Amino acid sequence: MASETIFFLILAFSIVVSSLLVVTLRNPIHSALSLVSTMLMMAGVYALLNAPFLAVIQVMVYAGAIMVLFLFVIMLLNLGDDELGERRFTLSKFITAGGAIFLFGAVAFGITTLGSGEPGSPQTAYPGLSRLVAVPGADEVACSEARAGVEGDHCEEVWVGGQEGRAAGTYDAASKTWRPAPELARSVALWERFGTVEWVGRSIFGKWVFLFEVTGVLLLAAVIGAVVIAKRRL
Amino acid sequence: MIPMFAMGASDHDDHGHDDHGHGDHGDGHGGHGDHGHGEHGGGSSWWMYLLGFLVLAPTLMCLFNGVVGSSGVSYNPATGEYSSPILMAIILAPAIGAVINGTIGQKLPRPIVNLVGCAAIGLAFLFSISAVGSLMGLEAPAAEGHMAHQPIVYNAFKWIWVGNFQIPAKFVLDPLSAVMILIITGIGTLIHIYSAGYMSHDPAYARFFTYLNLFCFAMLILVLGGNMLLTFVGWEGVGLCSYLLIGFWYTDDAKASAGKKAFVVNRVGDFAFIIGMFLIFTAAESLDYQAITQLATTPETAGPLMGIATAATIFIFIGCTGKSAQIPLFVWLPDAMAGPTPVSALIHAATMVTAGVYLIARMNALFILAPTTMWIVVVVGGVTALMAATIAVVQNDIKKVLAYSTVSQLGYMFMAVGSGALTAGVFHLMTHAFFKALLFLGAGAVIHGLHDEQDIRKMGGLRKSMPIIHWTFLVGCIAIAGVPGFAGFFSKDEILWNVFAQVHAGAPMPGLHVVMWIVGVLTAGLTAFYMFRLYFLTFHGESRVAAGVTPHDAPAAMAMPLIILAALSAVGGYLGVPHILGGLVHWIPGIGEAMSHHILHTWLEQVFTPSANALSIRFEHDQEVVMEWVTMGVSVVVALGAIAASWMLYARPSDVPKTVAERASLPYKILSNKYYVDELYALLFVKPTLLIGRFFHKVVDEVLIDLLLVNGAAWVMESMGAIGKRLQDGNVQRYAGYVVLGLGAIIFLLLIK
Amino acid sequence: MEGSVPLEWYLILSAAIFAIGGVGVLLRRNAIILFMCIELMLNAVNLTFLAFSRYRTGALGALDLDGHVMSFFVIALAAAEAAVGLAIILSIFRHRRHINVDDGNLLKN
Repeated sequence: MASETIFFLILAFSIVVSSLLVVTLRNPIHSALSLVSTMLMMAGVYALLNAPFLAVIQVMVYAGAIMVLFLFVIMLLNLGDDELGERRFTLSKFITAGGAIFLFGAVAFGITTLGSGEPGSPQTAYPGLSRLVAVPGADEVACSEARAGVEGDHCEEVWVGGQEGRAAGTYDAASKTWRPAPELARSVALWERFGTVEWVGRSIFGKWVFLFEVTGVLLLAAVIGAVVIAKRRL
Repeated sequence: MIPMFAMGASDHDDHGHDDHGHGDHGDGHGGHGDHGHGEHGGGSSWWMYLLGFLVLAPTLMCLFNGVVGSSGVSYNPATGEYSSPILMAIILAPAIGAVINGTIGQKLPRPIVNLVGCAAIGLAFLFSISAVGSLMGLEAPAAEGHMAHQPIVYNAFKWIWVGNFQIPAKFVLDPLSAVMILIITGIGTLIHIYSAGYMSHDPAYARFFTYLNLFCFAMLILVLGGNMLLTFVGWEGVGLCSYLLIGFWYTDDAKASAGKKAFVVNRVGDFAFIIGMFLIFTAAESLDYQAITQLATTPETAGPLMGIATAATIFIFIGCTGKSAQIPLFVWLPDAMAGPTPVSALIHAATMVTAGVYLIARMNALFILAPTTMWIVVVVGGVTALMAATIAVVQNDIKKVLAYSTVSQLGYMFMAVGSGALTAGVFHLMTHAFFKALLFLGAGAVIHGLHDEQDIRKMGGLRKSMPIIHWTFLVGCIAIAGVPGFAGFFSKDEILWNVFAQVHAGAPMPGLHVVMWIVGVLTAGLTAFYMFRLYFLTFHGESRVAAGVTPHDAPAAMAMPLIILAALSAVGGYLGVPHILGGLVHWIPGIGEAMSHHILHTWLEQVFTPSANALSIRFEHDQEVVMEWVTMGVSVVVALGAIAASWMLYARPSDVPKTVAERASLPYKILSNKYYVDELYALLFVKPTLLIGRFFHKVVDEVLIDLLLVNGAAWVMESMGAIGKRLQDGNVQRYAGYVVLGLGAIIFLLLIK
Repeated sequence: MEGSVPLEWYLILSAAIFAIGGVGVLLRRNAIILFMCIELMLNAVNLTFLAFSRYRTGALGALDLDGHVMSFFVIALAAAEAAVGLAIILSIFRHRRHINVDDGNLLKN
């Protein structure tokens, strides 16, 4: 068993347990601490997913800033035991919880059965997971700035009109299929750049710069909103 | 304004148009401006002079320009049609007047409102003259003794464009619509000017002129419309304006009801008109007059039209009976006299009510295919003419007499068009427009001069106090009575001769036409009788005017139209001098040669299909000439006899009318109650309708709708709400739970699919 | 560098966290814990983004960092949401002396 698999299983198990604790623990402080541990382990999973930048952000922003904010508020409110309220289990709560679990089951079932639909199997007619991770259709394929990550590599000038950008590989016009160059897909250069600050930053400040600016406005609004709401008197 | 339209034309179409002959007449006003109006009695206000200037000067200019120039007519080689935006100008001029008076009229001083109203229709008249002048210039080669003119077509815009149902807003000026627009705008202008005087005491003058202009707008659409649907727009528009103007004094309940009655009765006819249109469209796949005529007159393509011709024409004729007040839908017209008198003159005598005659003339190609409809038209027209004439004899309201007279004369026109004598029908339409407008305006002037007195029993001896009205009214009476030499004589005689001559022309039922001819002669006699009864009772004998009322003559604004119309009533008939009388006018210097032919017939026959013309009368055989002399003589003798009879009975104090009324009390009662038609309709239609209405009110509305549906629905909703409100308890988490459940259900469904 | 862990596993983990968070949102009455559960759910989504981003890059043979960018924005959004949400909780607490959501029927009336 590969080390990735081992790490994944350990982390997944711990995350599920600690997130269950978040939900079930009565004291908010305990819940918050469980959440912190969940976040940290999530950062580990991110790291497994070749996302070092996001893993760091997760630790700093979530486990750091946001959770501190939570704890701060919890302490500020300083709820007594009676104020925490009784545990009340009503029928509707069971139903909703059952619904949520059912939902999870359905999604998981869908992921496992539909997602790995083999070509030619009945499931492929259904746009399942395989489609999402698979190579986009010829219409979407073209060389893009993403190619900058694999400089000097072969890139067919296939420009089929999509805005997805360009990709390295060959496009077979007859069968209308796109074959990524296998040596590129596994190239060290690609994975050295994947998920790093530099290349995530290039994407944020390149393709997504407008959204980034909008997020800035959102944060500003949140700051002002939080101050206004939390203030005792205006 | 003419140069302006010439420029518009060059924008519109840049090949093939010739714009010579205008553009340099703009300064031609001054020379003619200051004569021609003052002699009709002084004392008018300043705007009368301005109006006279505005109307007369450009009239001469446009006459010249219209005949010599081309009023912006351009030729489109692609379609082979002549086109001119002046048709739009004719239609839009009254519309603009209506908009101005309808929006800011109440704020404007009275002279301005009068001026706007009169100028709007006056301009339309000028444009019409110019356009008709251009039409005269578009002469095409034709056989000896005939004319052929290219119609002027103006496609304003695509109106309805759905699949093969394509209706352009297309206006066509051909000889028939040319006659109509000259009548509408010409008489319309006179009546507008008259109205300025007549309505001088009414506070709602702006509204009045708005409606009047709007009416002219709709009427012009009706006659210029190049397809049935456009005509129908005008048809409905004039109906609306008629309703608005009959109920003009809407605070009077009776008058408002009269308006409603006219509207509702017209709806019956309009419904039939629409069905007729449907039928025609199913067969011809077009509502375009030119296309329908083309189809109907080509033997290879007439097949589908033949199948529906009878049904379609009957439906259209029902529509015409509504608009033109024929049996069975004539009941609204006498009541329509509740409106102001100029309205009665313009709408309910000269123009709108003749729309039915116009429509049949317009669709003659289709009517020719349906002989059954044709004799129905003749019979309905004849019976209406006689019936209305008999009612008119015993009426005592000056306007009611004229109203029934109008119904009767319209019946005459239908007799004509039903006999295939389309020219005669349109000819009578024109002369009738002259003298009936004159008579109505004269009656209005009398009413005005007597401070709203309409009962002829309270008149008498007015000839001294109202000289202008008296003389013009007399001309009108002579004209309508059919005294030789005046307009009515020519047109009425032509109709009678055509009806009679059907016997020889091979009509399917000769007997019917003989009967109809007798009916026509009888009606002519009755017409002469009741008109002169009216005349003598109003203007002769002892004065029976109520104490305290000082009769006064017509003011200038009212006198001028009276005089002009009287002149037209006197000489209008010379447009259609019958062949046998041609020699009598031959000596008139200058125009005698032209008048010795039937000018109107030559002008109109080109729009009427050859088959229609085949039915109209030829003058080749000596035998027929003799017959024509005989029938003419009979009708003249009858008319003169009737005039003499009414002179004996009414010009002098006489007990005979009273005695007759007492002796023959039953017929008298029937006549004075108008054959109880209103009562019959009340019994047949109104009462059942009310009963049905009460049923729907009590049972359907109160029980079914109010109780069962409205309250029932409320009750069901309330009960469901009682259940639903348990769900909606305000707990956000539970709401979120429902969302999750729904999401789960959706995913589940996707999975099991 | 394509992982030995199949994509599906990540997705199932994500779904599990999402469902746990969802159950918390539905069942817990304490508003602060509610918020924490929402954070859990957001994290689950982030996980999905990152997983897809990696597996897609592997399949494409070209960088596809859109998922990373989205996660980044989700974290920013979570921060904003936490700030505002906690401010609201504070003011509600001041007003009502407790922060239980199921006592409230604010959406009613």
